[in-house]
Amino acid sequence: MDMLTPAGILGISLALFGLPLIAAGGAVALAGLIAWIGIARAEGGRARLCAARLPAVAIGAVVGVGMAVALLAATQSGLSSLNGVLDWVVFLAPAAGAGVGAALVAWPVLALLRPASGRPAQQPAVEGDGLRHV
Amino acid sequence: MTAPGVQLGRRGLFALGAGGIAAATLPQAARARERTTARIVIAGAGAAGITMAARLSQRLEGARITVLDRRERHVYQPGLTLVGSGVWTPEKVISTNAQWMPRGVAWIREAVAEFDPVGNKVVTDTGRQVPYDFLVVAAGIELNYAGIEGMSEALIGREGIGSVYAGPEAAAATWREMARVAERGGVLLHGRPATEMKCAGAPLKLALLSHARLARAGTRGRSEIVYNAHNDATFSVPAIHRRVVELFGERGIRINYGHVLKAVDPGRKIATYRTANGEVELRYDFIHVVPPQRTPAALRNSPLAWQSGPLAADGWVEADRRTLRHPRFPNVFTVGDATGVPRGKTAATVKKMTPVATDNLVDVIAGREPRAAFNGYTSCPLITDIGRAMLVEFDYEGRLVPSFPFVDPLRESWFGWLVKDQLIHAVYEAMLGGWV
Repeated sequence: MDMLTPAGILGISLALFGLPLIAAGGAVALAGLIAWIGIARAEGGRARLCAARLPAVAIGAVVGVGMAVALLAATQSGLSSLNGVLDWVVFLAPAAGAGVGAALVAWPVLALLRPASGRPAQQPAVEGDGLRHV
Repeated sequence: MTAPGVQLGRRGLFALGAGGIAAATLPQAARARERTTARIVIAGAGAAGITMAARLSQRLEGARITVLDRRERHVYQPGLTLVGSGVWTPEKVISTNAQWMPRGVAWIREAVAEFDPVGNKVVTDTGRQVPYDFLVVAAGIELNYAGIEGMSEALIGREGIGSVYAGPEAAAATWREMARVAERGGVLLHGRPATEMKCAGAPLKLALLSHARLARAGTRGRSEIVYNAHNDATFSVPAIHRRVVELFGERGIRINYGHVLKAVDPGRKIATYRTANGEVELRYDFIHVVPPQRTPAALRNSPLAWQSGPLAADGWVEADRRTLRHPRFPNVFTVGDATGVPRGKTAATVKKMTPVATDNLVDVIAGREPRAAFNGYTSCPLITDIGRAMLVEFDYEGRLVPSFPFVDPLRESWFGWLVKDQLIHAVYEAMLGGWV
């Protein structure tokens, strides 16, 4: 299909979302990636990321559900409009994508905002007495 | 309407983004441009005319391309059924031709009054003569409301009369009339003319959408919806006809075959139909009028029109159905609604026609024989409900040719609706830019 050529995909994407929105999305993704790498390489970074994991998942879930609701609202449809596997896949894919994307972007941001301490598993073990001190 | 500054900005963004990245991603062969000093005139600045201008300006270097059309406004016609059923607002389908006109293309804001293919020139409605080496006819369709006794465009939105074909305002007025009838129920008449017409699926969609609106309003039980088919089928493709009959049956929409609208009497709310057994009068509370359609007078009265055969009566432009080249005037190509081929008067058809006509015109300019072939592709996302549609696509032979192999074209789906409601407008705009 000619729509699936690089020029076609680009032209349709530009018409659908506009260059500013595409650029903003790209900038957010890039900033998230840089933050990810920076935090992961920093001292105590892994502990920070572990601490921020569940809140990031929660944010992703909220965004995913919000995306699903928004998609139905934008298309003036209801769940009863979905008719078959294809419809459900097409409906759930953007919601899941938005949720996962939001979680991945939120994760390093939350890791930066949260204190490094807070979880037993993230503290270094103290050698000698065989116990983990918290 | 969009402000001029915004128009330029948007076009600039398109050019910046699409031009830059596409140049980096397109194969070299696709970017090779033919050098020529040919004068190319494109008659019409609708979807077909603008897309041809964009594609030719991408493919040719040095060509002098001129578009002739008086209209400033550009209407996204595939959205008119959605406006007519209250799903979209009319603003969503309105833009300007200036917004889409490619850079480097001359636009004369005058209508073609006369085609002179023997003298290789067109004459505009101001008397200006515009000579050409190659002509692309994209002059569109004329809606002949006067072909129905008692009917005029001014009646749309009054006395229960609707018609989405006349434009965004008419489509919005159609929705107001339909909504008014949906509040209390009544008799709703739909149908199509006996002539060739643009988007033959639109009258079917309106019938199905009126059912959806009445059902949502809770008045379907005290209403009657009738579809008046002009011949013995609701659609020219047998598989689609059979599916439509099923859908209408499920929804209690009655079909009258062989009924052609002859007259409307707005005062009495009576529609008169011509049938094989004489004239039949039907009372209505709402009627969706689809006017007879033909090419503009300048084309009908020109040597470019078919001189005999079934497409001669309404002035459809003669063309080889594969190459879209005029058989008697080989420097003339035709695209869009005015084209005299058996199928295809939709925006989706324009999307498939314009690359073929562009390739073949470029070949002719370069001294080669035209090689590209149009297969009659026509698409009609047949809306069956608010939230569901069928993505029906077919060719000259009436074969279903789905673009998405994983989609059953005769199955109602939300995916089909999503494509119609959200995606196709973007594809259309990309088409106007020559990107798809």
